[in-house]
Amino acid sequence: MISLSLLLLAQIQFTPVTTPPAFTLNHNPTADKHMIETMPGGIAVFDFNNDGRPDIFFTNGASLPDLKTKHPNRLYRNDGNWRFTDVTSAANLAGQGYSMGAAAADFDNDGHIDLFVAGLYSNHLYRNLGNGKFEELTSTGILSNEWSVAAGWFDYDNDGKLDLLVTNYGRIDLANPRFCGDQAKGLRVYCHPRYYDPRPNQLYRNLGNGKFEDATKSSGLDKHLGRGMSIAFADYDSDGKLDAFITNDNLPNFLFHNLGNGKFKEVALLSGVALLDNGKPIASMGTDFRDYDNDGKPDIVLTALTGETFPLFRNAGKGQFTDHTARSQLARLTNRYAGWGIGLVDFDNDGHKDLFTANSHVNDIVEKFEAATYKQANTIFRNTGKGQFEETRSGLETIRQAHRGAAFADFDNDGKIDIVVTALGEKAELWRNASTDKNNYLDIKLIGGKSNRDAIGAVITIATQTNQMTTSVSYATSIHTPVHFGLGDATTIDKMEIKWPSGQRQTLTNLTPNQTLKISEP
Amino acid sequence: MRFCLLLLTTTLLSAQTAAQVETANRAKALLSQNKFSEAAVLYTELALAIPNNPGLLLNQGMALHMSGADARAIAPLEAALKLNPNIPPALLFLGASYLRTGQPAKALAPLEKFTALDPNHVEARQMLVDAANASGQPARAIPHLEKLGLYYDLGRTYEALAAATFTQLEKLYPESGPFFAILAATRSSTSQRRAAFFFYRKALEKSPTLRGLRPAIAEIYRSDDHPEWALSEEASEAKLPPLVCKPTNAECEFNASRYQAALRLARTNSLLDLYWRTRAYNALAAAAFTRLTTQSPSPASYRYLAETARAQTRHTEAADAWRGALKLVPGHPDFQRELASTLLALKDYDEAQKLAAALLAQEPNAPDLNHLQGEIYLAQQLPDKAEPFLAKAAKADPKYLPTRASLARALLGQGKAKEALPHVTAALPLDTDGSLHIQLARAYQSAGMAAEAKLAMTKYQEIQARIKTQDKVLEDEVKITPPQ
Repeated sequence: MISLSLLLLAQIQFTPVTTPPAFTLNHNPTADKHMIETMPGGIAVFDFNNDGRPDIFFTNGASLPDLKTKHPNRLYRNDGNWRFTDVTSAANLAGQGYSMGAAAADFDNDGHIDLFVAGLYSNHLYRNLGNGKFEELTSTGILSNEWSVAAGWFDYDNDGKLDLLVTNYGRIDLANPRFCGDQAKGLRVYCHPRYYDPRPNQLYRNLGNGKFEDATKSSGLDKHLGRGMSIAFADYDSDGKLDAFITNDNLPNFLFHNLGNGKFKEVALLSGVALLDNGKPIASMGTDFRDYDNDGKPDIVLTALTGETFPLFRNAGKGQFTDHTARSQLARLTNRYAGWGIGLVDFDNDGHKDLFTANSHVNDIVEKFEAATYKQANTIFRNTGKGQFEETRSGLETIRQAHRGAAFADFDNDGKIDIVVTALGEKAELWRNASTDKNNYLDIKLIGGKSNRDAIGAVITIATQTNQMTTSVSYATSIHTPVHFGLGDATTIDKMEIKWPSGQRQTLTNLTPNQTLKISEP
Repeated sequence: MRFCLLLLTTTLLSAQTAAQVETANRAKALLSQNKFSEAAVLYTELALAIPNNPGLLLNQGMALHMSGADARAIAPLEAALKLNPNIPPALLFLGASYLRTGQPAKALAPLEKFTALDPNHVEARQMLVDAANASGQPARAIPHLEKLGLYYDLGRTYEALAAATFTQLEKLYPESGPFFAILAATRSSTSQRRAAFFFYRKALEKSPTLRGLRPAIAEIYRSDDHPEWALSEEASEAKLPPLVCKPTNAECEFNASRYQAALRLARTNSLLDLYWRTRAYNALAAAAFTRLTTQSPSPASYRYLAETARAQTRHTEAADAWRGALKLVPGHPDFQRELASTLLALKDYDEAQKLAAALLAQEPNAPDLNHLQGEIYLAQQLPDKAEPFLAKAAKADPKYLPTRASLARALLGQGKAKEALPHVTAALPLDTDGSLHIQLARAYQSAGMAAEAKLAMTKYQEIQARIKTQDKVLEDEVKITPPQ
């Protein structure tokens, strides 16, 4: 009995927060079944007021098909003790149009985290003024001519200024929606993605002074048409240049290898991350690009639909990835789920990143067509530390919703990573990490000097663990928080190495766990 | 043969000896004791001794047929009929023997004659249907299917005739207006409105005076919320020269729903005859299925509903229909197989698994069931469990490529790249989307064969490029545009 008790104590546990932000995601479902209704729910978690507590921004929909009535985006200030205050109006972040995704970063290196919101023909860049207010920048050079789903900040040319990559889904004709389903029975379903012509993603180079140059063509991204969903960045080949992985819905995924001369080469097929081993494209949704097996090389995970599994591509080195979905047990474990938000996060601080997925089928009447459920519970697959995952009963299974975006942050500063999730037509869920393990942790907040101030692209190594500073993770979501390490029972950290985006390397020794360490680039 | 033994009333032999009478009596007794081989020996002796006796020849042929010696039964039965063309049992047994010896075309004439003489003989009609289908002359099965009330088979037969006629139309008049019109109607019947619209438009381009195209387009416009466009099309149709039905023609008969008459009037291989014949057969098929589904539920009606639902990927309805059929014929192995496959398509793996396991317990070596069981495990991401079933199925039927492809997946899923290579290579003819070439490339890569992997990847890219071109064509097909 004692050992059983210990085992139970060591489990990852979450409890729903009773006072979550009062945000309801209004996806504006219509009888016309516009595909866009299935896809909103991006989140940005960032400390907009620099008070050390992560705040939450939710994107929201708009009326369809006219897009005229905006369901306001919302910013909730974290006041501590699980209290959140809606400061949308004061912050001037209610927004316009049908918003999908968000990307937070300090693009102007002024110490205040700014915000980009992606949407349907409606992209907006908000500069954080540092006084609790944001101003929308116009004439930035960023276009609103596509159905944009997500965006990510990264310094692709290592000039110290963060650039913006925007994923675009496809062409949509809101005025003339195609009927898909069984007309005779009046069963209308959301159309298959193939009916939405793929589009190129867009890259904007940061020129400074709030101006951006459209680098889509010069970078070579214009040649690659996809149905872009989410973005994650990592330097997968350790050449010092950040590469971009983009999930595509029912098309092969993209891996844009940064050539360092302002150009990218799309290498997903040759690298082994375009498709699963069965060769079929899947409905790739959210993604994370992080080292799951502590071998120092960033791996790729993504969510997809029921029966497609949530693929895991293990970085085998030399620019090659291998499909480890089956070998990691994720094939078997995830086969019955459909997923959106996703993240490799060490929820029990044991030094191994676990996998969270926000789940729900895309088809709201899927029960009429197959033995699947539309509303699903979220899942955490615990990393066993042996290259495999196992499903947990973490408490998340108590709530089934049409989950979409998911973000991870230590909202109560207790050293354990909590979760916020959106769900179509429902209130946002906030989950407190109630795991009772006694493991230690270290959070590292980097401040770039020569590098971009957010140090996006910096890689931190502690013992066998590697993590990186990025804000692009999950589905249409952005998380701007310190880099988190679970340390198990380690009471000191002998050595920590930082590889800054500028190429500088920094080593720190004899660090104390269980704190947020602020480190500036030397 | 399934029907009962006929007790013979052979006419007394005019030139018989006492010994022959005795032999005849013994032969008759043997027949009544189901000792057919022995009876056949005696009747053969008698037929040799007393030539040109139709009764003896009939009995000889019948005994041979009943003993399974059909090849030898044919000659005496033919001889009997030559002497007397209207001996019903000779006609029946001759047809049956021709069927058994794989000569269905030759079975047709005697069976047709027999059913004319004995219209209520159900088994003879069923044999006739089998013979017509097996000899590739399904039209000759139609009156018998009608008589038997087998509306499922009747509908499928008309469909097959429609398909054969359409194939001829396509061959003789490719890309003609009527060809596109039939394509459009087919798409329309499966609710593929945009594709139907595309083909109706193509048909109009080629045959602007073909009646009925514009009303069909108008219907699509209405369902697409463009009533004004529909009116415009209908106005254009009204401007066409009126249809003259004196004397009548296939089009007139078709419009009056007299499809058999339309068929009679459209016998040639002219473009319009082939067009109206195809349409008439399709209409007759639809009528047969309507009769089938408006009767009280039967295994055949459930089968039709299930197959129709499956063709339109309405798997839930298909599963319900197979369950309905199984309520009427519990344990029917074919229906159970179909239900298991449908449950797999529905992703109801637990139920599919149960059913497949039960079927496999009865037929552990059936390749299709082993394949199905393997597929169910593969769908559950359990390649290790799938492998033995798929390996067994592949061994039993190595030419069935879907099994080879699935086995390759199961092996690759376990990291057994080298073992997977021959199977994925064998399955390559199935590769319409390049996915098998990706599997091949990954297998080669894992096996350390980099050059081969690169080649497979190149082939994948070629297939993808071809698909993109096809997609572009399809893209043009799916737009519903205003009247021209």
